[in-house]
Amino acid sequence: MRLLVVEDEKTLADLIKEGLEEEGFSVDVAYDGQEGLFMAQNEPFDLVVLDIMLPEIDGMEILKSMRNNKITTPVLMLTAKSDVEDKVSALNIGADDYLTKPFSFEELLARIKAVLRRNFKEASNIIRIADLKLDLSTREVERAGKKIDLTAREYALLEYLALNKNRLLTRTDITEHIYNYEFDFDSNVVDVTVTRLRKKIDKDFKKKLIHTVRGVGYMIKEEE
Amino acid sequence: MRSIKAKLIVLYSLVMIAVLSVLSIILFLSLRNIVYKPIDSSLLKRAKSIDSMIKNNSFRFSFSDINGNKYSFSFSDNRLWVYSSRYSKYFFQIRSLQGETLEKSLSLGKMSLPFSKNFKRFENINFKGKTLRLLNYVDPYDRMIIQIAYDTNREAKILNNFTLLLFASIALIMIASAVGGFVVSNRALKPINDISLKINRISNENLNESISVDGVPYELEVLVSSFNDMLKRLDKAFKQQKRFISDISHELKTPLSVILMQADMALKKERSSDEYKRAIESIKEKTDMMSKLIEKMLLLASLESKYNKMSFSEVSLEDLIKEAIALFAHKADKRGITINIDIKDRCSVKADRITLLEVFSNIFDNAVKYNKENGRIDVSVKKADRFAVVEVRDTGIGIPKDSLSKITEEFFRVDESRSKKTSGFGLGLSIVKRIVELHNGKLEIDSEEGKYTSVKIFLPIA
Repeated sequence: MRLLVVEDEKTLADLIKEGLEEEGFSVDVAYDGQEGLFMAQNEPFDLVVLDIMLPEIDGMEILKSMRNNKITTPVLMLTAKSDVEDKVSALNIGADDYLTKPFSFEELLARIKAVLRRNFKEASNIIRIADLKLDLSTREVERAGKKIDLTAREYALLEYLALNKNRLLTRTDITEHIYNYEFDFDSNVVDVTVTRLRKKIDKDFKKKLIHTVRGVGYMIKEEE
Repeated sequence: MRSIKAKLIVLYSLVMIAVLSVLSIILFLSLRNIVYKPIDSSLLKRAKSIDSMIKNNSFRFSFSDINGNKYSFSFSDNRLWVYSSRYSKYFFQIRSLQGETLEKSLSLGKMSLPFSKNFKRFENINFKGKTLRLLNYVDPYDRMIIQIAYDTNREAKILNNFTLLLFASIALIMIASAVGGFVVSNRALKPINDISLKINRISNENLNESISVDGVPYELEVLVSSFNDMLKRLDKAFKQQKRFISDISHELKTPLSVILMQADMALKKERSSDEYKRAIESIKEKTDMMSKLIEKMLLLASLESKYNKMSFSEVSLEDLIKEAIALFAHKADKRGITINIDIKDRCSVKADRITLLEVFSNIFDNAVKYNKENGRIDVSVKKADRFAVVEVRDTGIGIPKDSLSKITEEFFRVDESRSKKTSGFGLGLSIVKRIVELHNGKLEIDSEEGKYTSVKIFLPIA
């Protein structure tokens, strides 16, 4: 999952980025409203963590412009204000959730996951594809009851495929959603990661779940 | 009496009573005059006629005057027949000057007309339950008094009725006017009630609304508009307060989030001791910053109610400025900044030493913080009129033109990212302005971006 954090307090933004990356997200950071709005409008993020009080353009304005430009990326608002009015108006202009400062990292993470799950229309934290089981909250993967250890990048790829199961994902889709801005798009790192993931998920099983669509991309599905 | 309505009613009732009383007295007196004048003149005519009859000897009774002349008269005279019946309305009685009865009319029967030594020419008397108009006519030559009376029962009745009517109508008018007054004053006061209803609808939620002057009488427009002005001032103060509180919460919660996040991150999983150390250092740094911020905010808040607690004494500006500079000499030195002091006039001001020191500390802090490396700070003190003017001019990064007017607002920072580097809170100049104002002085800030900032403080000379 690729996230954007728009927060003017540099230390806080960097800490959030660090924490979320440890959780397997790829994270971009914008330190002011202008940059935040530009990135939100030009990159396909899965979620934006947006502070309300920002220099240049405030968070409410960014959210409004995003929604006016039909960008439906889920948005989690952060604010130091605890007014109910603020909360209501943020939700009214299209925020998906709202978090009041100060907050703990666990709370932020839980809210991000909840918003993402809602956005991918998953009712529970557990996704099952045939005998493959993915726990979004603990990031544990099992196949046929056997635990599989994955690296953060492999997990991110599997999670993205699973959340979009039965849908064809191009290489660009995948790079854009599991790597951040600093990533070099020309490399074949996606193919390498997919190969490694296949080794862990599909190699010992007769039924293959990850499918290649030649020249286009990959998808995860139950039936052959 | 606190009710305007009651006051109005009582006041104009009193005026009404006075006017109506005078009017009714005049009416009564003139009516009485109208009623009695013809009676009086007819009585006089009759008296004179009897007198002349006596003189002409046409009376058939006789008596002697003081000269021994004998008079007599008779009732057969047809001019006297009106006095002859017991039912007649006219009476006469002839008395000597001593009051002795010489003759009287038949209409009197056995009764006598009243007589006293100090009689008046005309009087009203009660006689057998009748009201009589009595004329005491003195004939000085013949030394006799002709009393002649007329039964004025009818006229008295008219007068009585008229008086009654007067009283009744006064009472009626009073009642009508009291009721009318009540209605009128109610109507006059209705706009006030309307306004107070409108005022009641205003709470802290809709302070920005004003009371419309539509339908408000001209006389109350002044009240409404001054009330609206007050609302505006209240709204401004309220909004300022609200903004200040929301700013405070932002300024406090953001570093608090950093601290919490830093701690969370450190505790999330096993870290190296270096990582723990860095986290703790970062937490400490943020905590230090927060406690400084809280101190500044408390100072600013306490200034609002500070005035009564300040102790004013004569303070030498030169000494105070040198004291403040000493606090920043080290910091300035580190950045290679030189500080020049130019005392053109020695000035003393009436000031609270400690708070005034806070002013110069803040200004020098800014002058050092926002200066260029190896820059300069020029401090001058001079007199202008009844003010001492202190100018602190730096060779720093300056303030953009559009920010100059907002520079003293609480939490205003010229550039967020820049202030993050220099760890300002945006409170220093707010504090300076407030303190200078508490000393009845004023603050002037002038700047050119990239060149200089000049802060001038005007303080009344002691």
